Amino acid sequence: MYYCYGSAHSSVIAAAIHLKKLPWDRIPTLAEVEIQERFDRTENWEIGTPFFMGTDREGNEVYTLGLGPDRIMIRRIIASLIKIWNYPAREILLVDTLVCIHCLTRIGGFLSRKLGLVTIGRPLAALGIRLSYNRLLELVQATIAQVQRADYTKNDTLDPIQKI
Amino acid sequence: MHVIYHCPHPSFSAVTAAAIHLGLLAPDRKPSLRAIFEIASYFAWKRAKKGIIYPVGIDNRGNMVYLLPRGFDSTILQNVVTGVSRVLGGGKGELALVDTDLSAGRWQWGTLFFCSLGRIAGPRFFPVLEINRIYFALVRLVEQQKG
Repeated sequence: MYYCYGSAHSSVIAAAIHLKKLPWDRIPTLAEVEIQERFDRTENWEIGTPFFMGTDREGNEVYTLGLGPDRIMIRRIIASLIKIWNYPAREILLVDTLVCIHCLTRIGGFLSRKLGLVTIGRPLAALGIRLSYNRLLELVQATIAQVQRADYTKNDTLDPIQKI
Repeated sequence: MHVIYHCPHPSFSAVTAAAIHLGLLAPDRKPSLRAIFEIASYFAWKRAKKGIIYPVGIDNRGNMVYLLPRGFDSTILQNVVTGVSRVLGGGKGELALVDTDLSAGRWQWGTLFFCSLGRIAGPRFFPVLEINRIYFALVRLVEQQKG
């Protein structure tokens, strides 16, 4: 589960990279970024809703999630829910994509999602994604490696709420 | 079934609703101010952290009752709890998320102001007075929830 502020930009792109909908060997064009499903589409009232983006080759379900302004509180809620539903902690991995984000994506996202200036905001957000693409790619590669690592899959007590 | 009562953290409404649900407070008469303080103290509400879902008991029908202290906006919280529960395999009808924030207008702002003040000063009389005002509305909410 890739998470950011509003599940509109960095988490959507990370999920697209994970699912091989975006290239691993080059930086995508602005058009390729902008046509991604849910890119710069999530509305404010949808923040907090997990969006299913697809299933990867290993059979792992990939989601995006926006945590909003109070990330610590929402992470605590998720940790509590994992306990309530007796869900095995090793089966879920939360990955913070905001650590990779470029300031242009923040500005573009604010203009588009908060102020409704989509014409200016969306290309700016996409440009920011292009500039931070290699970092996002590294994050996704590290995530996939962690999921596949034997020590992760065997360790029941691993904290799922972690930053890579 | 899991029943989660939530409200802005310093407010006592979720604590009071959970106490009514569990039969710790009588539904037909308003509790004393001291009783509300004691209930809040019993559930260690003052030390509760926003976002942690605290189990507080099981009702006479076997439903688990929880408290969830939150911030003042509940939209994201509701989306996360319902959405993530679905991802984790929680079925529809297995979880009830009950917003006990029934205060409005100047009472809401008053609660916010005095609760913030309470963090520094200690006493929280305004939230208790608020409970005194909305007590029977909370009773109705709990009864509605219990069906």
